[in-house]
Amino acid sequence: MSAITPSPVTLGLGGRLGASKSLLWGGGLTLIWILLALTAPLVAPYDPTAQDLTATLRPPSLTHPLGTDNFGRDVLSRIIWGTRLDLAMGLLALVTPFVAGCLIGLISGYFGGIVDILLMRLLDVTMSFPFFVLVIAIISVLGPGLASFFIAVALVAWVSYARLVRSRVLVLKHADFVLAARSLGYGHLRVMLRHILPNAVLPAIVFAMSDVVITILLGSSLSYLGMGVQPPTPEWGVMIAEGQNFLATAWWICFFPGLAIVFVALGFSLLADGLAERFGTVE
Amino acid sequence: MDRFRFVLYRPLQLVPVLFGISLVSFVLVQSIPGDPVRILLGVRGTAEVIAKVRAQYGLDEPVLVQYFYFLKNLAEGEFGRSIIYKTPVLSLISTRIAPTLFLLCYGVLMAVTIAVPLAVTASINRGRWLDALVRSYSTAGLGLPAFWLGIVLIIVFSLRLGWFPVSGYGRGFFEHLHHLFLPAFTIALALSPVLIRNLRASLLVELEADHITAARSRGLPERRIFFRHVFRNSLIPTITLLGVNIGWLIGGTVVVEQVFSVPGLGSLMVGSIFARDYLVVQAVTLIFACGVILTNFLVDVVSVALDPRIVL
Amino acid sequence: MALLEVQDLAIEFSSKQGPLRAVDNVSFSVGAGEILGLMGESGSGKSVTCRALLRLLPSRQARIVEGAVWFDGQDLVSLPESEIRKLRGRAISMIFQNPSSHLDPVMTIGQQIAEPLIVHKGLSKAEAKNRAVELLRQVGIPDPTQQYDAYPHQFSGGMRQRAMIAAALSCQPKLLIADEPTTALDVTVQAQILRLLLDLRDQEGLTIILITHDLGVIAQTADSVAVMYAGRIVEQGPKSELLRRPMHPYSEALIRSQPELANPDEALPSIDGQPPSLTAPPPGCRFHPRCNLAVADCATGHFDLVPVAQGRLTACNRWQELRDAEGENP
Repeated sequence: MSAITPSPVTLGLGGRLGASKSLLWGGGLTLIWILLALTAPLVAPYDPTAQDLTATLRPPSLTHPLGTDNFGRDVLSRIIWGTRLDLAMGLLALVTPFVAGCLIGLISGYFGGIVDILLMRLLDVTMSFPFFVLVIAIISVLGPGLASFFIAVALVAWVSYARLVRSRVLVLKHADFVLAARSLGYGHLRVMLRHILPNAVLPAIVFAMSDVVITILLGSSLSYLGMGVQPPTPEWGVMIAEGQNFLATAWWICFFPGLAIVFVALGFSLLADGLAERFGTVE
Repeated sequence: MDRFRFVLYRPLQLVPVLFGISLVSFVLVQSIPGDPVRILLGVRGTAEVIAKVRAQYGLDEPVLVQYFYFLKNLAEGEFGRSIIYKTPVLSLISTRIAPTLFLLCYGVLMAVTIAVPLAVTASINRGRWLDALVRSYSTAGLGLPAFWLGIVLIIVFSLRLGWFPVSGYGRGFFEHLHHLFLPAFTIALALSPVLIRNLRASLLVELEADHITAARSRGLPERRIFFRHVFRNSLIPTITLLGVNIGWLIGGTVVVEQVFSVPGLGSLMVGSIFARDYLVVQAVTLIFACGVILTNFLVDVVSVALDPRIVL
Repeated sequence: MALLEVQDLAIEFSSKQGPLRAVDNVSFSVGAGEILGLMGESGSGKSVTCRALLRLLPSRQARIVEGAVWFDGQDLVSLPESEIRKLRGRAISMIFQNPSSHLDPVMTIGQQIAEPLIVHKGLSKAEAKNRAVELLRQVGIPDPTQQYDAYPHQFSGGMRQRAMIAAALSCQPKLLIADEPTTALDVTVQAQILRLLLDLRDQEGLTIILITHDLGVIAQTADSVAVMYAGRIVEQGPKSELLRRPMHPYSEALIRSQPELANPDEALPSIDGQPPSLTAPPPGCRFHPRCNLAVADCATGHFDLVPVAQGRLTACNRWQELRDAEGENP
């Protein structure tokens, strides 16, 4: 070892400090959004669907901080209520694919054989489709709506988790501590769940954070296209689609919901960065 | 040249994947509830037409046989007829594919034009405010919804400044460039954060690489070291990343085409979904999947050409 | 007349615990055509010293805080960056420990050797290629015309080191700094590379600073030796005398812990304890906490390198005791 490599102590500390900064900001931002979603009825100044035809297309003012839309609905209140749906789309939609993907990856990687070969083929096939295109193709069959969105995401998104966990399991199953557990006579189930899974699931969790960003973008895009949440429900993509007709006169209807998406996504992206640096996982 | 031999046998390896893709597309249309003839014809045609379609798709046979009919039709370039446009799906696709390809290439080129200087600036100024600025953009930009970005660009550059048309494709190369500028810019802004993050990270690794110290010890000028040694080495992971992201990019194009009313495959797909024109949806899905496979293949060829260590 | 003279060199690294003086008060000189072996454990500051000669330290972390390096009538420490760059590769070159990571993986071997020729000497591509093939031949690469187009990963470790030597020597420098050039190589290949360095010295009059932790390498190659410990030079002298009769307890312990020199019937002696932390080095002689001969005086005062015999310098106050101990126990 030459002594010239930049002192690992300094770099290590610097990196860890940076990581905790990302974690802190990301965690804080995400927490604020979740709180906002939970307390929407208390925080929102107006009913998100209440129309006021005497006050349509009002620019941002003191009474309506982010303006009103073409039905006179308060944009700020609609954004606050929309938090519920958009966060739910990002977080809940991923629960099934996360669990299923991790388990499938675990089983496939651990036992190998024909199951694993078939799984790999299935992964290859699914990943050949553009994620977004496959999701809207499935929705076209199921019909538009939130339920179709959840099903479509579940059918497609598990693939990344299965692949991540599988590749970790392939390494871990030959690790010394796993061999030791096997030699102690533990059964496959115990070794898989107690010894391998906790070590293999970390990259999947880190990836899930950035996947939340992708899924929120996907969900709002679908709603924008009219395939997801349907109007008049306050959802950010829906709001942007509705506001598009009034671009020339009322830019705020479109602008602020998009900003909300950017900031929710920023929270999770920072969280993903922070976790990735903290645990040193590779994508 | 041995390293390029995979160009010959890769298509063979792809056969199972292609089968899988066709199977997924087949299952997609199979699972639509209702009378398949209605799906294929849209309206109740004459008894004669119905009989012809039944024979062509083997609709009276078991599902597995129907799949073989489906494959046979695909092999003959027979994607069926669009019930909305009343034309063969294949000819529909062939008129719609050019704007999409144009937009994709335009967008990627623009993204690279944005990403490379920013990543280079950031890596050279590591830890200083320029780096912090680029890093903030590339983190915040990860969550930029393409459809919203497109709308914001329309507000600013079309409605306020009047520099670019709100929608359309135009005629001839230069009109395409003009009409597709904002859509391509939208794609570029949405794609560049990922590219910047990746390129910046690999530039930082390469800047500290041993062979860079060695090049310095030979007295080579910094500029030459950066472009000949650092940059070339950093490019390889970024090109791989572009390949990985092609699927995501196509998804973005679908939405952006819709925002700017570009007459491409994406807006065709979205329109067909609402019109329940399933054969078009199926065909476009298939084409996009083939596009992904082809892109990944090209990325492999480029990586092998750029990096002498890669053997596929 | 010395080709290179280092005077009171001190280098500091910034670290979380404050400045860390990796090299302190280091002076030595190399005569033209000489091979100086710079020896010490990892972390002793030998690599840092040598990179500082070419100012290749990471500018973000490391700083030369004191001293001068005289080469050709110029002080390399105070030279502007543009001037030092003109010397790199042309007057002074460097080769490194790990040839596989020190060669650009996506550029052919030949191009990397030809590159300095094009940049420094303004040769055309064709001329540079001819010269590079010649250099490949000179460093003992078989079939050089063919191998010109090979990539580093297609070479073995020894071949890569030969290629790196060829790249370093392409512009005929006067001084070659070799940082652990054989450490990453097999023993048989090590000997070939050392042979090559010796040939280059004998035939081309190349001056070499050879950094190594391996006493065997020193014994085979060097003319004179400087031993570093915890950022300082503790002893210096002609190789054969220093190896036969070390005048510092640290060098003596190093020599005794060499497997090939030790008595096969005894357990291999090793030096107790750990090298000191450079953020808070021990006062006095930095070796005293691990030294058998240490007395109270060793923990205070300055321990500078002083001449004690013809060509011999030591930083130990009690070097005579060491000689006596040697005498009692040959």
